[in-house]
Amino acid sequence: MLHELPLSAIPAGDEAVRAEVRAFALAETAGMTPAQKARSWMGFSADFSRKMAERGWLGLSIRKEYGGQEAGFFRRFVIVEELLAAGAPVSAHWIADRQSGPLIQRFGSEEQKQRYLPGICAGQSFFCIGMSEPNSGSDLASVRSRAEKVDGGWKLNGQKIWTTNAPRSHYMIALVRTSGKAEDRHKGLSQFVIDLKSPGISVREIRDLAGDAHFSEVFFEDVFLPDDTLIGDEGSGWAQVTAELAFERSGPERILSSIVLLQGWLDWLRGQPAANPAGVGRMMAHLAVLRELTVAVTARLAAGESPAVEAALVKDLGTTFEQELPSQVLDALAADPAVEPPADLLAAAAYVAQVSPSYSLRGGTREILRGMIARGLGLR
Amino acid sequence: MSNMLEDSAKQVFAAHCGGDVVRAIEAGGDASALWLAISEAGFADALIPEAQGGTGLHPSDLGVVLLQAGAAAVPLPLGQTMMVRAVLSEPDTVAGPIAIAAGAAQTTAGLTLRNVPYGRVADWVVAQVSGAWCLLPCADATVTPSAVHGSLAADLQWSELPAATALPDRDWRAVGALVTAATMAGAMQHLLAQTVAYAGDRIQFGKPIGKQQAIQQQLSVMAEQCYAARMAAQLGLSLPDSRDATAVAKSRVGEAAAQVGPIAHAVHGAIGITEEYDLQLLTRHLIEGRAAYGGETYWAAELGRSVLATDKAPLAFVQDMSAGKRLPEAL
Repeated sequence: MLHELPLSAIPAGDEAVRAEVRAFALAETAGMTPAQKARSWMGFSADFSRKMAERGWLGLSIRKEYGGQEAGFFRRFVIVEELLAAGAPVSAHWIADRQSGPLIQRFGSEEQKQRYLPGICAGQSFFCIGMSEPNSGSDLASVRSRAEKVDGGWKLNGQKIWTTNAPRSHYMIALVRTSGKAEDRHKGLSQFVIDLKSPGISVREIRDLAGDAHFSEVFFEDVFLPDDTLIGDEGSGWAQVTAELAFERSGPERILSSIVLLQGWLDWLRGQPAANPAGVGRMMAHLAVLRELTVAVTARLAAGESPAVEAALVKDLGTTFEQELPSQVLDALAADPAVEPPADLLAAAAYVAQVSPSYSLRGGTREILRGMIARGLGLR
Repeated sequence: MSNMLEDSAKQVFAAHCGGDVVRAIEAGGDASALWLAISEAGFADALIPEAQGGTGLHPSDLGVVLLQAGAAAVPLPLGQTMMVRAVLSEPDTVAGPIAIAAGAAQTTAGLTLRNVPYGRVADWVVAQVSGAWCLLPCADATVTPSAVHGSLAADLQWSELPAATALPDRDWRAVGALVTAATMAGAMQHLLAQTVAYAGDRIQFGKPIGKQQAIQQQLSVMAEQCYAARMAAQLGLSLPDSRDATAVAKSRVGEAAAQVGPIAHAVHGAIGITEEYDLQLLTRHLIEGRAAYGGETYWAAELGRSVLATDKAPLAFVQDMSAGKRLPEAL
């Protein structure tokens, strides 16, 4: 069911941290080139993540007894907005802070919460997500990595792929089959917290078209997983992963992947005699509306609801904007061959244009999201 | 979220503004019964301060009414009338619907206003005459339909300058743009419901066409654009004095309409093109609305110039705009 998204506001208490976060993010990114900033939530800096934790800006939805802030969704919204607007290197803590921590808090045992959450909140435990496999992309329920029950735990064999930050993470939360066959689909899937130092794990980096190596293949060969690394009940992995994806799809990051480029373009246009006001205005109008939509989704989350379909709708609109932006900026920068834009701005635009197809792949492809919306409309 | 104002608007329009009523008024029929029903429901005076006998609401609160008016294809300038009546010193002396002229007044022989939206059904019109905004009575004007079949736009012509009431100086064209964005968003919302229902009913290849992925993907895009349009209109109404917010609303709603209307027609097939089927009442409004009071490119350029004139970061610009918004009150 698709619900309305009424105009909503960020609570004043959460707005209050904005100025401090903005000043911090701008100072931390002062020496970076536009192309470096444009990597934004792919930029990895353990040092930056530690500083975030020192300021109390990680683990915002985690309870205080586990080292969190208990500050809620809007506090994270404000902090994330400012980090991404500045192009800060948030990748190290990103996945743990956004989804692994909330997942463990919601479905993990008391002992698991005490084991994993303080490290996440301290910016010291980094996580990656083990969902996709070579033959399981959009059809996630077809995963074939399999954990067999053995004495005291499970023995895992299989492979994950497109795993962001695998070589630099401490843990992976993986969706694997624990019973039945691939044909059983949603049944028989479970989630484990895998210590990536365990024997039998090998990681191979995959270089992307922009020359970066942020994602990887991860191979499991007779990897022993102790019983207490299973999250939730055996067989409940599909329901948990669905909840996890709702966290992944609902944040402001789904409209801000290329915001650094918009900033660079405006900075350059402001010094040019022939600006492009209609092009700028169109992008700004989209940004303004998308931001209100993400605020409205966050308000629903903050009210304890689970706006999965609405989040999918906003994500698809958001990634469409994120992809149109580099396309428009590239064209605008090349509008007059006699006018040479700054080389670093051109490099940032080219970089974002090259990687932007991934924006509508990661976290659920455009076609999968539109299928969810169609279901919300009652069509399937 | 239900609200009394929205429920009341739904009831009034369901009872008094069916497709037959819209068609009759567009064909030149009398609109006074519909206007009476709307006035009696209190919508026309909703923005007038309580001290002057009105309801004292904010345009943000009235969003639900304008969305419903758009959904019902109300063939009257309701939003324009509400906004103008709010600033009149003696609203009781001004009865009937008020239009807002989009273009420049010609004052060479008498007074001519070209292609006024809702000019055929207005008793009053707001126009900028020799640089000053004023309210003019339409009683003595020659009214000539100026646009396509079914359009309510008209040229208004006076042989002599009529008695004018001065209005506060504000950009009344922007007001026209804002309320047009709101009714367009409402029209799109209704088009979505209508089109989804049709896709569920229409059987081809042995099953409802809504079961086909190709149709589902189109309807999902339509839903996305409807959500964006509605949010854009809500944002604009929550900041009625911000030209930037109006620019966001009109440009984004227009862009959404450029996708939503064609998808509604594509899914409906030939029946949607017919006079007798209600789809056209809404899709025609979208086409006319996009062009009224400045199109997408005009408002985008206005916004772009405004942004480029500051040294604000793009996100900071929209954050600052958004910080001043007045949320609708639950009534």
